[in-house]
Amino acid sequence: MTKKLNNMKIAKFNLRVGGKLGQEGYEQKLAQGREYVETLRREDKVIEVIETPAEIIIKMED
Amino acid sequence: MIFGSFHTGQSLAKSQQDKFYTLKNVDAFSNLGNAQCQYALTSDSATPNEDCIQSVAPNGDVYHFSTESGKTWKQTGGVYSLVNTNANGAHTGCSRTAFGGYIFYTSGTKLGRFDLSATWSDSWQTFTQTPTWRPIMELENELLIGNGKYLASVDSSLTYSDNVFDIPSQYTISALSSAGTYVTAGTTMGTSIYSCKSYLWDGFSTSWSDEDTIPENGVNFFIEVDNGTFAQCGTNGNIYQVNGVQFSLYTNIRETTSWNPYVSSTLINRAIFGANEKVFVMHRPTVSFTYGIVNEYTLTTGTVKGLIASGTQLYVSTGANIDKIGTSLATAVIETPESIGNFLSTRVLYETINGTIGIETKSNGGAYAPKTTKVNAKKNLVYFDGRANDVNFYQSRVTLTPSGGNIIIKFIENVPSNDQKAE
Repeated sequence: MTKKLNNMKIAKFNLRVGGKLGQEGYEQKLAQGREYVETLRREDKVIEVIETPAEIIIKMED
Repeated sequence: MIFGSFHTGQSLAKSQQDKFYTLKNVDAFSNLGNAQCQYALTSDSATPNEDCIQSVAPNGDVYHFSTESGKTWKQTGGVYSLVNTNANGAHTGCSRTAFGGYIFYTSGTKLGRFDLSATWSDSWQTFTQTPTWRPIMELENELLIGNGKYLASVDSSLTYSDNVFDIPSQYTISALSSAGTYVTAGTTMGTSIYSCKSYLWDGFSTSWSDEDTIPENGVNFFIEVDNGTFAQCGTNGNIYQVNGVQFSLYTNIRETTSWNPYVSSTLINRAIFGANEKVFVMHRPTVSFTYGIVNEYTLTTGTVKGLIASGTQLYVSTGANIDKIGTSLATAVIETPESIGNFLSTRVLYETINGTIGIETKSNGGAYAPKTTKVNAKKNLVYFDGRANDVNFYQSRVTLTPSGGNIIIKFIENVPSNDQKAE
């Protein structure tokens, strides 16, 4: 379990694919979300990453 | 032809008879039906001398975010001070006021926040997309931020989401408004492509609810009026009425070419926006009137780069300074429509005259010729001796030059001749 920090910030990346955006499929969005996590790892102090089918939650030090 | 009801605003063309061809520096709404000189803008500060967009704190302080550099100036009590230099460079957006105790601002891929005290966190969050501009608005206790093909959000717990809503990747969200609890997103595909779309989103579904194609190269900003929304689109002054998602061309503001985002606000209960060196008010006194657009203010220099109201004051970034409403009255100029037929002269009925009323006339499309005016104080009339001859169409320009008080006029008459010639 991650220690809860008062000075924590959270970012989310949505993995839902709208029915009208078939061209941007789930796999593509997942890849973009994971790339976003790597960007945050380089630029922020990432504490925890939680990946669910619906979204990626990134907890960082604020 | 008698022209009154100045609140009907400016027209599309000189042939339009139910509005005025020009209403410059005119206050047409304070004294309904009449026209009077508006207060002139004055330079409030020589800095910031960069293009800026603005946010107002709950206490009325105005923050000017440079779109040329990372600098931010604070204006409080008429004093301007440089309060932050964003390491991420030029700003691309800012919340128009505080949300959750912070003012939010954007630069490059970074979302910054300011705690309304002393702490500036320029890189609080990171975007995946890098659009040129980021519109920002609050809806349903959530801050929504344009993020290219995505809509990003900050919720009431200050959790950031990079993509709560997405649109086709060829579009960039360029302006945001709402229809009830629905989001209306205006877009652009680029300045060279004269087709863009608006998207209506219910705030939770995975896709948009409705869309409309707009024959413009982008939605620059929305104009919010009470229970209504208009949008400025493209580069030639077109104003669209927005019904949820459908954009219908409402009017055009002539002789304007320099349209930017972040140039609309609400001054007391009147929508206000700017282009070129002009600041316009769009207003109707009650729902039983139509909207009139009046060029109420003229910049001291430059063109409108950003504007916002704080209390009863207006702040405009000109790129060279910050203008605000001063205490001196401006010289107002009113042009009538072009009247068809044979006309003799022009007369102006006034209510109050502190200063001078000048009259120029134009016959058959020629140049304006100044007239030597006379005042009939018993009849509250300003007129000129002599008469125009052989007129087929006729137009008047009236200049109100205030001195020691205001000038209030009730109507302008292009006086017809009884001799309507066949040739």
